[in-house]
Amino acid sequence: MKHTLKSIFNLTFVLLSFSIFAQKKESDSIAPKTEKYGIRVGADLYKIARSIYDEDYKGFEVTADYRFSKRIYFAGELGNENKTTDEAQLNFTTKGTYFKFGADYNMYENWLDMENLITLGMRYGFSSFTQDLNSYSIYNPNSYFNDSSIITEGKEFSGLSAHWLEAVVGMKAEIFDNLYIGVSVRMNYLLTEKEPEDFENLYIPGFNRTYDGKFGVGFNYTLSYFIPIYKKQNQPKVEKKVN
Amino acid sequence: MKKFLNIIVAVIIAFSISGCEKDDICASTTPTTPRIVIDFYNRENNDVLKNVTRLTAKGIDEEIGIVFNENGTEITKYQTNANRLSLPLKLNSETTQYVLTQYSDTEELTNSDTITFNYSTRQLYVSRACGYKINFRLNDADPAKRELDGNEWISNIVVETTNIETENETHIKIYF
Repeated sequence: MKHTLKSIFNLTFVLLSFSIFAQKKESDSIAPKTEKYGIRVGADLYKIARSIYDEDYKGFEVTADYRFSKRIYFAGELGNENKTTDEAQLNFTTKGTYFKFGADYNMYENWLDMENLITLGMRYGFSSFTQDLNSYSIYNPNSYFNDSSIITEGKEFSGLSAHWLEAVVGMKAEIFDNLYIGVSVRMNYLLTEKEPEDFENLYIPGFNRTYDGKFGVGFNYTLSYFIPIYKKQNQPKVEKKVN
Repeated sequence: MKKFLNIIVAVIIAFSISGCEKDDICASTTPTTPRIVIDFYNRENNDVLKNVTRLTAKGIDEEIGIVFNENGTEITKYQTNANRLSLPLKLNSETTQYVLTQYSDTEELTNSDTITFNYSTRQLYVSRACGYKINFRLNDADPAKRELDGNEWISNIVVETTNIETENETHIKIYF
């Protein structure tokens, strides 16, 4: 189930790329075009889907961006996650809220009145969360006595937090008027975290797993709606070489 | 633009490769719950290590002893002739008693002594793969004592350290 969904998502990713790249650049003697400025709001479809098929996960993320200039968009995400992780020696539930804000730079040169995006961006992320250790095992390589080493008395760690930075690569394609589907991949770098005493933040809402030390990865698949606020005409520009 | 796309592709490939999980198994080199490490010394010459002879170690309420060599016969697999002994302590108790028997298979010479360890336990987080471990601390008042039965082969027990955190050091010295 997990894999099917993953491959469906990957397929949309590929299709999305095609739909963006299919638009060839042809002539350059077009009348100056007007571009829409406004706010785009959306939601992460992956987190919604996962909340349905994965009984150990409940989460959502809303996204928003504001077009500041021709290429720069201020962008942010707000989300909440409740995830139970089952490891061989540990079972724990992470609950918390996160927000991220930063900016995206649109690298994509649109053709005609298209308003698609291929962006590079940065985010600052913050999360406030709790870790509930549901059960854990004492690792005892030389067990001789018949004593159980699985402890089901839980431990709760609250008031935890983390700060991190994200480098974001994203794409958004307008599928209907003002309606966009998008995907983004994120590379995360943990700046600081408040760790529980005698445990570890193995999962941080918004940051994801911390198994690779300070580095993490994330992604989202968004459906978003653009609310135009005003239009601005581009200056007719000199032909640019396309490499 | 093309360069930029190449970067995206490279990043995506890098992510999909790094998806392989590592560190899922607790490595045997990671210090986890230690055993209590006992070194045997010569009672006549206190600085010299002395090998025990066909010694068995059995928890006082257990049916079978600790296995020292997996490949031994029904008798020899429970015997050791070394000068160092590592004994697991009970995790859910603060007392562990062992019966240490010299010349375990020779009726005329066999001699059993019971030794009692009194300690407190502390749980410590190790890692995702290993979970938690327990460290022990021997009680100051009665860390390790032999039960007197009028025919002891152990002459003296000396506690080297009360903190049992690693198996790389000697915790107890037994003179015989």
